[in-house]
Amino acid sequence: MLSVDLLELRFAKHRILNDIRLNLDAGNLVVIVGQNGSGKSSLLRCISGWNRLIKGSILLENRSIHDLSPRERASWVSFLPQRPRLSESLPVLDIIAAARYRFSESNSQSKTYASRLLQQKNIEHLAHRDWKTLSGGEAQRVALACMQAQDAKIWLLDEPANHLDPAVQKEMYQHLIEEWQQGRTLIVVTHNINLILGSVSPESYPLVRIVGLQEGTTFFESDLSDGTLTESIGHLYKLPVEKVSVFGRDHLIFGTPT
Amino acid sequence: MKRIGLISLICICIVLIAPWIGSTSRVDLSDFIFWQLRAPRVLTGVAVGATLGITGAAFQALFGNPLATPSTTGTTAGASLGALTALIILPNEGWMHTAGVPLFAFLGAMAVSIAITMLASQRNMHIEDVLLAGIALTLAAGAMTTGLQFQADIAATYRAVQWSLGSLAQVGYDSTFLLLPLCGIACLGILLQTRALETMISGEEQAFTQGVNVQFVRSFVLFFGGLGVASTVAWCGPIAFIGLVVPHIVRMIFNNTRRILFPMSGVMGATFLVGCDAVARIIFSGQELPVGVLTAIIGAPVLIVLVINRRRSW
Repeated sequence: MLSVDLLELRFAKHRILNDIRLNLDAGNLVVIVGQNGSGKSSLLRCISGWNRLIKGSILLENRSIHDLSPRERASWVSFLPQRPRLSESLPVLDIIAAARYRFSESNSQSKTYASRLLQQKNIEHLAHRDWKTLSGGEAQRVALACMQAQDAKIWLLDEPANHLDPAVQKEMYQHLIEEWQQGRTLIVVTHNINLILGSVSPESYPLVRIVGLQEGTTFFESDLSDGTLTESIGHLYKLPVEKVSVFGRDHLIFGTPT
Repeated sequence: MKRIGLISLICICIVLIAPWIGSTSRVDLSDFIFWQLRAPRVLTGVAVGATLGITGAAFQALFGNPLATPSTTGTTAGASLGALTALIILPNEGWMHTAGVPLFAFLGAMAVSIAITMLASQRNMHIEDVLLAGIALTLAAGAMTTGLQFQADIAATYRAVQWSLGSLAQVGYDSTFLLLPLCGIACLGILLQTRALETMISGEEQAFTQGVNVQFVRSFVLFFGGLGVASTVAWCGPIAFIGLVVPHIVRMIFNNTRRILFPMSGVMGATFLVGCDAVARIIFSGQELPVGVLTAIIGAPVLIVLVINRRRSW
């Protein structure tokens, strides 16, 4: 479905990304890991079409993402930033309705959809709250509802649970994994591989693809059940890693560099 | 919804009362004063105030910046340069003067607006860059204006200063009938992008991934906003603060939903300007205060109070 053939991305003469190839089928879950500055977020921005490549292509069913109309593109790919920001505050219901932009429907239809969505998610009490008054966790729930309102086939998620408390982090990933199980394609950038290990049921580990990025290029590619994953991640972050089993699940614990 | 109705009703009442306010020294002239002076003046005020209010709200939304005004993109500075040029190179009276000053001001403003629009349509331009370019153009046009004033004789400079105070005063309907359609087109153009600008509240990149054609919306809003502001400045001179303050007042009363913010900024902008103009007519008996002075004098403290109480809005 999605084919990333990314040869070069530059910002002001700096080469950010270089020679990354990635092919996704519908319903894939790809986790991108890598040190800060390794180009993870830039890669997401290339896939969303926001960054333009010097060389290479992002193809959605053999059509370049830049050839799609804006609304068509929005039916393919949506993006959840690390920290959603609003230049002005709006009631939550209006924010979710605004995320329905790609549909040719009236504003009241969008609002009806949005309030139904809030009910489904059991957060209808937030509907008339001002966005600026939301806690970090509530804001992220609303951002997730916006993704659902946009209903794109591929979700790009940039550290979706960063800066949230552990309970909300778990909740966030549970929602995402549910979406994946229902057939959504997810590309997740995260440092927290343990959250993935904890949220995906172990039988599904072989289906979760892990891509390690280093200095803008692919460092390793494996899946969550791969025995060499622990070692690869250790190399990637240049830290000793130990796999331990806690609460019946695998966890990766990082040591101090020697 | 009730509140929208109530505020709109109050606004309509103020606009309807406005033409009756002012001194009428001779009874036999009162018909002429009402129909040939006050009525076109109020109509002009409605068009100008509404355009400035809507453009201000739209530019604040577009730039994601509460301090953006209709003049942020350099439109007013371009108009001032054009008006001063006309005052210097054209004769001081006759039709060349009455038509030339607005025409030159309009052309100056449109030149700047089109330059900004073209910049904004570039794919690699961030909206902050557009804002910066607007400020740069404002300063450049301002410097050229100062340079021209330095060269010009005192009479032309004096008239330029008079022009820069802003005024709705006029006789008859000629300019009103030119202004109304231009302002109408400008406001309509902006209102067409209400939904896109609402989506752009979460930033340009997010709006892009949600399916907004960011470059198009930017250029569209900047062009139509520029057209509206150019028209108002050409015929009435720069009128300060309405485009900045009125959207903030609307935000305090209602919420930020664009579908309410834009039209209500238009309604309240029109009312604010017409009301200020009525006060300007009577505040000093026998002499009229330029309305641009009054809008700034009232607008500045209102803005400061709002900034102090900003907790709610931004």
